[in-house]
Amino acid sequence: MAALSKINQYKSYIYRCIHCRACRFCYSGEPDRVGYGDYMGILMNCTAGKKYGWESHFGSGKMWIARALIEGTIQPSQEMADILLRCPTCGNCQVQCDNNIPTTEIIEALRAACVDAGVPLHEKHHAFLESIRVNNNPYHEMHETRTSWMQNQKDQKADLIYFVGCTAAYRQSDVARSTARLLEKLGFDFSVMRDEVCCGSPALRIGQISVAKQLMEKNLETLQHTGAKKILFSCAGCFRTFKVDYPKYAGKLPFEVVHAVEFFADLLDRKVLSPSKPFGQRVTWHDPCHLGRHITAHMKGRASIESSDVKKFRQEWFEKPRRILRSIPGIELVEIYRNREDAWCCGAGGGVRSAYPDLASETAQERIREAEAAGASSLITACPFCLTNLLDATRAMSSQMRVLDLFQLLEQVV
Amino acid sequence: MGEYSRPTPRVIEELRAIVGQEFVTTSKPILASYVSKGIMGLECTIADAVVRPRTVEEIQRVLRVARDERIPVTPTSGGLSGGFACPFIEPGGILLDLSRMDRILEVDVDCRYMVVEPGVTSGEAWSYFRSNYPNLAPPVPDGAPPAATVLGDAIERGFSLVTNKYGPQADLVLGMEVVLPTGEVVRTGSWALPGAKPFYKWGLGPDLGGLFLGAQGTMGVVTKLAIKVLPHSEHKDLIAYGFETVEHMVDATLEVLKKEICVLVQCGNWWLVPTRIAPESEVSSQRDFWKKAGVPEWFSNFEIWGRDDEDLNCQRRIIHSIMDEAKRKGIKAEEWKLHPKQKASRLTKPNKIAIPYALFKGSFLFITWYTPWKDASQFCRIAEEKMANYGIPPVLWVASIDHGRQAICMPIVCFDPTSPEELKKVQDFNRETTDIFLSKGWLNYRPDPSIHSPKTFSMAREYFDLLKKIKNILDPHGIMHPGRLTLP
Repeated sequence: MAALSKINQYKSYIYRCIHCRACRFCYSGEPDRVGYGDYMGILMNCTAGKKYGWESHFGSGKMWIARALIEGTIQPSQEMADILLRCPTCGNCQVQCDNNIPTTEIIEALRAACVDAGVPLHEKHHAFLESIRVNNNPYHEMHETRTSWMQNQKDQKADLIYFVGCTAAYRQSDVARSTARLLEKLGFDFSVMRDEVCCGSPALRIGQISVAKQLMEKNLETLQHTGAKKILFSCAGCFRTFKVDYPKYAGKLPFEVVHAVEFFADLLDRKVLSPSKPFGQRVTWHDPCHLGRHITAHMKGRASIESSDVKKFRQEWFEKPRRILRSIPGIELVEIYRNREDAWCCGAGGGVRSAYPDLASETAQERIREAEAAGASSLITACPFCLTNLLDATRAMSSQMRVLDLFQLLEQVV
Repeated sequence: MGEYSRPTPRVIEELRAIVGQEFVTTSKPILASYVSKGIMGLECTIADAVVRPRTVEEIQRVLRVARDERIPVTPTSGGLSGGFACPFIEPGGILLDLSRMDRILEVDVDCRYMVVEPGVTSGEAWSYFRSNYPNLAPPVPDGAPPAATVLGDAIERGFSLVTNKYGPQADLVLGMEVVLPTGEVVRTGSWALPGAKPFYKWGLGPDLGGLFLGAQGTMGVVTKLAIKVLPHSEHKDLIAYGFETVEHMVDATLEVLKKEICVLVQCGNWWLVPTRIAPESEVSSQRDFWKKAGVPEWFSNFEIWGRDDEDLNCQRRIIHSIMDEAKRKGIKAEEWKLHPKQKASRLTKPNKIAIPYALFKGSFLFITWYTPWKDASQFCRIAEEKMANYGIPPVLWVASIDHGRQAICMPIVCFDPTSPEELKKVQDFNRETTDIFLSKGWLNYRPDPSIHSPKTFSMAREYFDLLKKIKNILDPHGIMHPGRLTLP
């Protein structure tokens, strides 16, 4: 059975789950961690588990669902898919696991197994996949308008290509404009692709691997024509997909994949970027899962004994956006309690925002409350999808919290 | 067991009417997600329904439905008992998931106890006390991960962060509220008197509390627990000594234990180190390698808490002087200077120390026995030999209870859970050693229902018959699942 073969690849990892349930927490090994208010020590950090409460909705429960599937106790079904999809695949369970189980990959493989077994799609997922098929984006927007936020610098041969992504192109075009203007201000010769299509992340995250592969092929073909040496992303989801998933399916990529956070942090180090205008606010940083722990988990790989290089990478990686923020005159950066690898997810990813908007909204609202408790007036992030969900949350809860993308902020102060 | 029923759709609707539509499920994937094998047991079966009550009244009503329909019920709080919180024979019946009952109801700083519901985890309890009562520590399990519940550990008579000083977790229990299988609610200790605080563990006449401690949920559903909280010290240290033989370790450690100063004393052999680092293929299993790395053949960790640094220094001096004296008597003992990070990882409570043993071969089983402290060396020698015979890495852990009046001895059996041959090997080892250990007068902790329980109770027939009679009084309709004790 094809569906099972995907799960069987992970059998030895799945069976490692001893059901210790540490994976539901943040700081699961730091009970004495000092915080503020209700934010102290070990806290619940599984968005789906917190909302639904059934063991099946935590990472550990999903490992035992996988085991039951392998042992033939259960079969892929609509109700299994519904459980699996009520999870933003934020990766918290993976980074908390001391037995090194790649839970995020396993959850995605379980979703793919449901697809392979012919389990019908959630109607919302069906709708966005259809839009991807017709429009190359999940937002039901015309492909032709993908780059309408920008007047020039399209389809030119350039070493540097800015891969905009669907959310910034159609829903958060300020992020795209700000990123492009920053590049212009700093004198970079770059281009965006009129024929850019969805990176494939929305399809991959819900187990639609064949759809994602087609999108990958299209993007890689278009990128090949540009002769680009470096692809820049302002979207955490697109970046994660190019960095982690594209090589898995397409082999070594002929270009470098860089998120704008690391790109601008590097420019800061080289004094090319130097924010000069003040931003006199108390801000905090939301680590997007796809830019944060998904990347550090990828760098760690399967090794049980973490190398000093990986430890150093993790430390430096999470510092990059913080260094950028601290470089802005007048800014006061305070840490939200759950941060870095222990961050609370915004709740949008993994197909949750479209199919389970209540989970997405409640999760984002909890993040806003946590930022408020940290004493911040602005919450900064670097993912247009997180941005969208967090902005919606502030509106839903009538919060005064200002939510901004890092590149919007940076453009204002450079 | 043949008389048990499975919940019908009508019964499911009744249960939904009691706890709410969204808190009862028969979804196969959800039921499968509660299954657990490893750590403490290898056998468990899938429940027919999971019910998540929020109140005592809901539990009463659920039990009455189960009684009327003769459906077996298994209560679980955190589910950390490696399958012990799951039903193990067909039909699985109702799994009563108590995780929604997750409040710390009371902290009495004068009587120094807290009252918790079943779903309060040790991680949450620890954080709560650090924030609100930093001078007090909740008695959380040591080694069990932060999702383990305080109540679950206590009624299992588990191992806590202060077991050497105060005995098993159950010794700290001051009172319980229990919903009996008939739906009646009973409180134990001083709490049995209406209006009384749970300030005294002994109650009105003979104490009934013991019936629910170690009963693994077979006598009723414990819905509230009053348990002592302890002075929390900011002055802590861990002193480790290495020994060439297990006999030397046991004898020298006993002399320290007799001084009754340590909160926790844990010992073991060098195998404890590599088996929690990485898969077998990525880590050396050679003694020479670990010897060069400074890991002793056998070692004891003495965890001490002081009122202040002076008190701590005094305790340090006592331990070192006892070891000096032991050396003069010919015991080969040497202080094992631990890295500050190693110390910190052991002093952190609750910690995740016990979790990564699954890395080595894929899973593990803690097969746990109580012995008199002095017998621990003999226990280890037998276990070591038998594990070697079965090709099992001889990982051995020993800890003191009540200042060495008892020892808890535990072969950590690392095995490949995907291999039926390995599973058989583990159970064969378990069977053979059970015969030997029982013949020595040692007792199993959390018995395996197919190995330890039948063997133990076949040797203690009269006691088992009395237990059955008592169970029959409390549970006349026999709805509480037989549990690991195989109490019908």
